Amino acid sequence: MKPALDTKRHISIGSHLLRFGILYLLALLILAASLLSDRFFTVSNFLNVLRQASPVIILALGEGLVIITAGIDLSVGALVALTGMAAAGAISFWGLPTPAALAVALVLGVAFGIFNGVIVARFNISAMIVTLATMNAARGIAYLYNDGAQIIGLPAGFTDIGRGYLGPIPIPAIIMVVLVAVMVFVMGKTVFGKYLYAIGGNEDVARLAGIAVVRTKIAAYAVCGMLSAVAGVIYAARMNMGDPAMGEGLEMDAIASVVLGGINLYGGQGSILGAVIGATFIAVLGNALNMTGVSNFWQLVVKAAALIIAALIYTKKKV
Amino acid sequence: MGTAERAPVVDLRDISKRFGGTVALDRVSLTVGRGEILGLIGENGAGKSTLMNIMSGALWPDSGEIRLDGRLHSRLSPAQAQHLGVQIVHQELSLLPEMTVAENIFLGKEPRRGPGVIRRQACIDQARQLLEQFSIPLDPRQKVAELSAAQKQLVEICKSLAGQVKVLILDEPTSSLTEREMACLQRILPLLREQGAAIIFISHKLDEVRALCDTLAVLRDGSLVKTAPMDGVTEEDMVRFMVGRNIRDQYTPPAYDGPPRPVLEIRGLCSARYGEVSLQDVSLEVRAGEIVGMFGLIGSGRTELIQALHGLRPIQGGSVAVEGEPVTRFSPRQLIRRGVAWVTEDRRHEGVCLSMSIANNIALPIYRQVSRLGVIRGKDLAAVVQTYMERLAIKAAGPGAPCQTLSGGNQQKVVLAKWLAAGPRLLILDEPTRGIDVGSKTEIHRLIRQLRDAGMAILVISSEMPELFSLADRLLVMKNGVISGQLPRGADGPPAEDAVMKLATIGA
Amino acid sequence: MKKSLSLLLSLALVLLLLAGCAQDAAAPAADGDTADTGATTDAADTADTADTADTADTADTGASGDAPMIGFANYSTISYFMNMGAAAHKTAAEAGCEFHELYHGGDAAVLADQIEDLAAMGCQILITEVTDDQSMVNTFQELKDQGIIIVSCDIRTQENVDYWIASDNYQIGRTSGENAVAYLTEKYGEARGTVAILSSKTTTSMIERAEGFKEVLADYPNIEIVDEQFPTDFSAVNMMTLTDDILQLYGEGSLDVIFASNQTQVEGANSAIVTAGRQDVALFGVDDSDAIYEALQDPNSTLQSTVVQDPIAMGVQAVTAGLALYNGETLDGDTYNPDVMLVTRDNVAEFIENNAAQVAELEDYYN
Repeated sequence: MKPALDTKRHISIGSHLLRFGILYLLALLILAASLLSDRFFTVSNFLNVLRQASPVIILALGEGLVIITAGIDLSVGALVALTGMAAAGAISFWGLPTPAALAVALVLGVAFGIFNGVIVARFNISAMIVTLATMNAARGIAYLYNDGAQIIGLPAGFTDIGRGYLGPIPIPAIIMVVLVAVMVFVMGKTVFGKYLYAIGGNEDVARLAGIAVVRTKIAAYAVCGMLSAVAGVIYAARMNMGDPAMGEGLEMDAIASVVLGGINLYGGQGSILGAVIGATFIAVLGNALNMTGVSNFWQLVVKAAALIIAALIYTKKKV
Repeated sequence: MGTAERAPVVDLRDISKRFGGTVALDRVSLTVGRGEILGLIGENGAGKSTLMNIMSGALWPDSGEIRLDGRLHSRLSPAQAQHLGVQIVHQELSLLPEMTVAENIFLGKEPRRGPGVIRRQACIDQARQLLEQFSIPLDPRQKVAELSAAQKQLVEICKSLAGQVKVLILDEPTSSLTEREMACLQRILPLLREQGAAIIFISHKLDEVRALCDTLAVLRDGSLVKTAPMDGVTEEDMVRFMVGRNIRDQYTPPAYDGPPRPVLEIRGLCSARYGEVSLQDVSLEVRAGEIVGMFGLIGSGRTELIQALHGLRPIQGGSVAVEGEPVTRFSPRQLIRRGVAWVTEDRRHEGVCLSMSIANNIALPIYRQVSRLGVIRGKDLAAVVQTYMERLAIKAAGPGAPCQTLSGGNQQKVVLAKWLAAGPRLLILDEPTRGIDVGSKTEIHRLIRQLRDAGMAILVISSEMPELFSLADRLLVMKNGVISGQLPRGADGPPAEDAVMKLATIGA
Repeated sequence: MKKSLSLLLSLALVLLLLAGCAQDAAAPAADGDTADTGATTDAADTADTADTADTADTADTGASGDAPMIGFANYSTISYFMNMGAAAHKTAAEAGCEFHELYHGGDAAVLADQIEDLAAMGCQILITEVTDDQSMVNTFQELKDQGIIIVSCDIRTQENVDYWIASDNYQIGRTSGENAVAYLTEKYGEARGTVAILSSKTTTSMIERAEGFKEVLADYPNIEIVDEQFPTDFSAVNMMTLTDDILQLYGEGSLDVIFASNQTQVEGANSAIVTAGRQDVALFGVDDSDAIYEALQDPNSTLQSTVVQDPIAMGVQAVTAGLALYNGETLDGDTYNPDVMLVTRDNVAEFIENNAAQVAELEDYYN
């Protein structure tokens, strides 16, 4: 009996380590940065990083969802720009109140997500290709919408979404925490979450088990689009403008977060919480490098190294 | 006899291997000599596959020595092992489906013209020569994707024969072979023995092990419990060595006393798709409380029939009714709703989600039942999973263990648990015990009978005649997309084997 | 049904893609359909195309005389470049010249292709917004050998260029620096304080602006430059994050001034300062955008001033000088530095008004 117990504990600790291996890197990073800069480990910098990380975490949630189904969404960065423009335009050009503008942005995000999902799932086309195309489409429409110009004239009620505080806590962080809680619940405790894992793990098995594979995948892309819109609104509010150039390259941050968090790019494996930790790691790393005065050129190298180290940690999983 | 000649080709000494906390192999020592065919048997998870992976360099032992041809290899790599002539035919196929038979056979050892340029014609010619040498009826230019599971298995075997063969390891080679492909293998092994190869044959089919092998080695729970010459060992002995108990597996008549209403009725079903076997005018009926066995060779259309039923191939005509209600939309979802469960032939690709836990696999079709408003009720789920894990005696660290850590037999039990949890009225089993150890096989057979006696309608498709004879209350034989015969079980026992084979090969 | 649906969807996708490409991606426009660029503009342009026949003839002979074709390999579609393009377009149209404008988006390879396409179309005067001072030197030499006149805007590529128009970036930096010194003097009663600079190591114009700014500060020993950043990605969001971190590093009361050396740096830094509520940090910028003008009027913003160039004057001068050179006239010098202007919180309203009036005149000439 005794060896059996030992075995169990051994496995659970081992798998936990691997599951969030990046967590240990994160702790190490925080320790090192605290030693190197006395301004790093402060409440004010904590809130600062929290605010910086929030939209990236929100994007990583959506990206993680899609990647768990063995898909990928390259359009999230462009959607940030498009939905930010749409929200700003809805206020500035159409005179809509802030909540209505938010609705416009979210609906647009969901619509783009559904479009991605339909093409990918219904017609079985590579998600990489489809979302590469919609990435350009979204970016293009963002530029077209106001002839390449920014949209300004946003009221405080809107900009507070990105700039405001509730007590000492930045509002983006509150939005992020709520969304993380919802998504962790969805992935862990709901039928939808389990279906996403099943589809990513083995689509044939899922289909034969009577799961509506196409519909579920479309829903995953729709959620990803919606979360991109949330991030888009936060960025637009934070920057106090709709900017068609906003969020360039954010899709790469989102994908890197997901990989750092130990979600398998081939689908079916990983925890959505991992994506959150991955995105946090990226934000803390950037902040720590800035705070310790590391040159921006070296920052690129350090970030690349971190990504590879993380990838190495996770490949050990396949003993 | 000189010492050099007597040195065993394979000499394993005190090999141990642990995975995490699980001991997979515990000080196993094994030798195989030149021209010897060793039968290696053992229950699922006894460590057979691990041992073979160590021998082929895919895994390194934690301790112990590997000697090949008398030379010690402490860090054997797969490439090195292959170079030394160790060829392994895996239980799971490792073929590239989009490449041809010839390309697969010569993958990594293509005949070349200059650096990097493949001599395509030579590749095809050599493949054809190889196939002819062993009388294997395959076209070297055919794409592997177009082959049946059994034919793929033959390609897999040919692949290992293409290089120099000093040690040939066959890991469950016959699990997906039908009688015809089995005959191929029976020609191949003696030929290789004559060439002086050492052959290790892993199988659950004890009659085959007895017929083919010279010596027997038995693994139980990671330890080698028995090595003996094959002479005088009976199948019953082998079973006893493996499990330490006697197992009987005999037909019992149905004990269901409810109304024998038909659960599945297929009338005049026609299904054709270009380049594949077409189903013509297939009619059958499966009633509550009976097991209908379906026998047919590969390509006879048995699996295709079930696929058509699930909308995976087009239906041109005929009608299907489940519990008297006609089916109009053919999809897995619709059939599951009507109470039809299908345990597919291809466990790895259609049966289990390897990356997911046992619990999540079992719960797949029933998530809706154990949830409210899309939120899973953890307790209900755990209870269902617990029930079926116990009922099927699934051996695992716990319900959270990923299926990829399970042995083939336990994976199959997970698949069965999944479909039983769905509470079906009709259970379709396609090759339910392929590649499964005797213990699990008996357990699964007993379970199938229990389900029948509880009133479930069961359709078992199998290439193993003994399996069907011990299970089926009624036997259907398929050939070329047609039901070529129906054989009731007589009062004195199953129909004659040759009668069944005649229907399957020649037709009615 | 499946087929038709997929057809429909792919059509929709193609349309979306085209919509996406039409505005911002100049690359596709660079092959066969470059001619569209002229046609898509507007009525004013279609009037010009009537002249195309003669222009094409003269292109072959290279004879000087009437209206040559003018090509503009422009940078991107932000308002600065758009205004410059429109001004050039208007000046060209008034001189009866056919005018083609393409955008390379900062990609040197795309730019090289576009320049060759414009030359192949028969442009005899080529206005360029190059990406750096090196990559086009050989290309320009080849074109000059063909007798094509090259006018370079903004970045200094004097070798092989016939004429160079650029605001003096040092002057821009100096103007901002003088304003910052004035601010600090007013704040403390003397010229002292701490300054952080957002600069670049890769973009010449930004380097020169930062140098100009530092040049002014060098005369005041009590003004200390405590931090200078050289980011690699100038996106507004990235600049905001960088400034967030700078503000963390230099807590309340320990930083007086941030100088930002281009548009996205100003926008990002401004967002960071406003969000952090750091009224103690004054921002001095260069370049303009709607968001920057808005910040100058926003009471929460600490943006004190920005230094703007005059893209309209540059566009006009590019065509005027190009035509003069084409007609064999001699110009005094091969360089033109248009005036730069300091826009502060005090004069911003007036400036916007004037600017709007100028832009309105160009309305028909935007690409």
